[in-house]
Amino acid sequence: MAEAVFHAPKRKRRVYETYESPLPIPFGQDHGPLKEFKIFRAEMINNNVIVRNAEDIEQLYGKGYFGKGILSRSRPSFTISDPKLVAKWKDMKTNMPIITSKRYQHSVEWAAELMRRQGQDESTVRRILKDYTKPLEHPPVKRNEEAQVHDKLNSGMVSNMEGTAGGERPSVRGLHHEDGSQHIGLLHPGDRGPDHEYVLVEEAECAMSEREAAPNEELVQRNRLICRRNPYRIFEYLQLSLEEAFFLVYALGCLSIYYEKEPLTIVKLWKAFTVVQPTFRTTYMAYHYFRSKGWVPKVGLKYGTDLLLYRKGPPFYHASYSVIIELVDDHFEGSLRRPLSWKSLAALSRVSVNVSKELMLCYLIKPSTMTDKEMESPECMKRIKVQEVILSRWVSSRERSDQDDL
Amino acid sequence: MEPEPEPAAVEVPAGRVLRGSLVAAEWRPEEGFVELKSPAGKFWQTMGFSEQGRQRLHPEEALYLLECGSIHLFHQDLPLSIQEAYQLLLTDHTVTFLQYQVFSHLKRLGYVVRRFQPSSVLSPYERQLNLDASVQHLEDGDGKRKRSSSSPRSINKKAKALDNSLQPKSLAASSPPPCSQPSQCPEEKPQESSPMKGPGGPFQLLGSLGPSPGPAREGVGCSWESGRAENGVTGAGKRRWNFEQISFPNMASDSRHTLLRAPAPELLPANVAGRETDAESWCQKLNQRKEKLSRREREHHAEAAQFQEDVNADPEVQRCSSWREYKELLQRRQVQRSQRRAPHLWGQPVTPLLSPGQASSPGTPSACHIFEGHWQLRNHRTLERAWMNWDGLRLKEDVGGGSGPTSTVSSPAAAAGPVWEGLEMYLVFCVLVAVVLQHISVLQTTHLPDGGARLLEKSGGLEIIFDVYQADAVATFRKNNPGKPYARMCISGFDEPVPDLCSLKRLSYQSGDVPLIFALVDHGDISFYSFRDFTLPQDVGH
Repeated sequence: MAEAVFHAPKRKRRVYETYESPLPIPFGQDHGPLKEFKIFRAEMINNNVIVRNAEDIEQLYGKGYFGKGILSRSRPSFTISDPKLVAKWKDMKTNMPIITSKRYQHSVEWAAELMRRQGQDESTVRRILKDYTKPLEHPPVKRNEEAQVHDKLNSGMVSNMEGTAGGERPSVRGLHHEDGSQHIGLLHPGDRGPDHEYVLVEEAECAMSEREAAPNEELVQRNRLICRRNPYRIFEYLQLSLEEAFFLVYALGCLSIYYEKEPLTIVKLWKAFTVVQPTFRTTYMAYHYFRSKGWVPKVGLKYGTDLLLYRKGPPFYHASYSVIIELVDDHFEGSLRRPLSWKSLAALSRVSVNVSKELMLCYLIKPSTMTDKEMESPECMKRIKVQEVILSRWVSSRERSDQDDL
Repeated sequence: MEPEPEPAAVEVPAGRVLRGSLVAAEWRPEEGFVELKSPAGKFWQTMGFSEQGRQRLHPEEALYLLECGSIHLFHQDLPLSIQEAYQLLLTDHTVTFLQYQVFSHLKRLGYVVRRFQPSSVLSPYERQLNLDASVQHLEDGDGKRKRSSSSPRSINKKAKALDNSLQPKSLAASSPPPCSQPSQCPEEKPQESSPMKGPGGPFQLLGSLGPSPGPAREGVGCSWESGRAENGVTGAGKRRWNFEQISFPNMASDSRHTLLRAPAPELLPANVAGRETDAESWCQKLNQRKEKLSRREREHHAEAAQFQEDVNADPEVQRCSSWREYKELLQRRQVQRSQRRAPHLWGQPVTPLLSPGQASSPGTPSACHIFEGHWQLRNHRTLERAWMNWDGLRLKEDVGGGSGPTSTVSSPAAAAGPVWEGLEMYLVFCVLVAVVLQHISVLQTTHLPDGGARLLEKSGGLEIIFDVYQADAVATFRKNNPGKPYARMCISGFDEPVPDLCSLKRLSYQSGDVPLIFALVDHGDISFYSFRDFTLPQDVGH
């Protein structure tokens, strides 16, 4: 037939994650549907949709691969831990990040600077920090039966701290930073916040302290890990693209977006996002379409197109399709979002083939009877039709024996 | 006139041997073709066409053969050099230079390239009725005679069988035939309820008798063919029906349209008269059979009557005067229930597509529908049991895995108390996912040929030029019956704009079910691209 054949996606050879759920909504809860349905919370900061709650971040990314960690490549996995130190001390089996002493000093300095800017005088700053950063002998262990207390090292015991299950937002009392991307982590003592509060600092041993020969101390220079509190913590947030955010709000009803503590309605979001990104409606409709087919669309910037379609999610399969979105009217004509010439199409086609993806053109056909007023509401999508077309190159010469049928 | 090859006048490509008997051909500019003056050689198997008893070539074919050194081209009694031939034969009215470049490129690779034949394209409707098979037989010279001779007997048998079997009582669904036509189209046994009525008499017969037993179908097929032959419609002048302009009355129960006018006489075969009829009497005879419940179903109904409230006793429901109002009432109630949370989402004119309850209670009809449509299961019985015992995923004794406390399941990997058998739980989860996806699917998919017919009036721009057949088909290639091409070609310059969706639809409609390739010529370099219709499959299984 003249239709394109569907090629099953290629699975990645090494998969490091387990698949939880296709969407961040509860499937098949036993008791009342309203009970467990959680609505996640996001904020509009500088025209970006940011999710700050750690638990929400985990749910949203883990189920459906929505968003991107602002300090990471994709999954929010930022840590201040120094990978070399982690490898060096891997016998410690601890969840706390391990940093160098120099790095720790930086953190202390930054915290001090911040407090000075807040108006605190120097002596107060020093006093607070000294108190805050003293080494901890037994850092609090939270309901963890498996805590192991290593006594291979002298002072500066480390214990296995369970990954915090706390879900509250990092509370910052009185030390609020304007920039939404970083948050001061100087908490009142005793405040149990999310991870990174306690760090292991590798410090050189003082000459005065007793030196016990630790038999399994393999290093020449005597270093030890001291547990301290981190005064300047950096939190990673999840940034959702406008399409992802709108999908979570409109299609699934599981996200609320706040602006200055006011939740926004769907119609308001539809309009506001279009102001921020003029082609939002077009790209959203295509995004919604592919999500409703169970595929995971991610941004296609890397390959010069609008969307990349993954089956299940990026960790499992390589992207199968690279999509260009166009909006046309009833007569199948329309001004294109990008001026396509054969040259650029040929280039995109070659690039896609080189990365084993298929180039797809997604046409959104809008009926000519649709008024602008109708387009002001996302309900206009019910009247939009979608036409997918696969563009592929055909080689005429005989060397295409390995190419399957047309 | 016997041509004498004159080495001085003819430009001979280097390395070629001048054969003694080159085929002579004459270029006819007014008619736009080349006529052979001496019998054709080996190339005749795949190139050229016959007309009025003479052998002719298209200009691109002639030029290609000239370049190959297989023919000798003349114009006004003077032999043409290749350069002159290029100038004379390639004009805007015949074949452009770009098109010739593509033609010769493909020919040299061994493909068989013919001019585009629109009449060989079947409309989707014809294809649906398997008319292509019959049409092919019609064109085939010898094979058909035998079949058509045997057909009259089978027609009569078939007609009799149909007459006897069709009683009003056994009409299962849909509408009876509106027009009575003699022997050729007795009342049919409708298999589906699609309203394929009207003047397409013979076609209707073929379509609706799809699932009937083999021999009967053949008989019908033959009857149609012989009928066609009788009416003087021969292979050469195949009529193509424009089904988009033939209106079929809607006789379904939502808008009963039972007064049917006489079909247009030009759409009927000759000697067949149609008349108008009122099908009301037929429609009244539908659904006469009473439904018989099994014992289990009756018990279930009795039990339900005990525990369930009669929905009609609800005063709010009684206030609804139509089905639509009732649905609105249900909607309002649903919204009210969820309105306690997130008023900015639920208390607004535009609400989210998925309400919180929809992911957990699929609602049997839609879920079943998706369920069946998505998987082929090895163990139907397990699933049937799972489905019957569905109750918000509470466990029942008889569903595999034995007894256990009721437990909530939120994902197949849930560690807390999964007492289900893995397969059932997984499948139920898949159903839920599919249901959710269905709820959020609001955009409709369309296909490339859809709506292409009405674009046919628009001309200008790209056109399909060639039919291309693969090289290995050369041995069995018959010019009169080439079969389905491997691909069809549209040719364009590299600097020209990319075809928009409008052109794509028009061209793919014209091409039918043969893939369409676009050839782009860039100063002699040719690259080929194809735009193909595609529908992304839904992905629920993991």
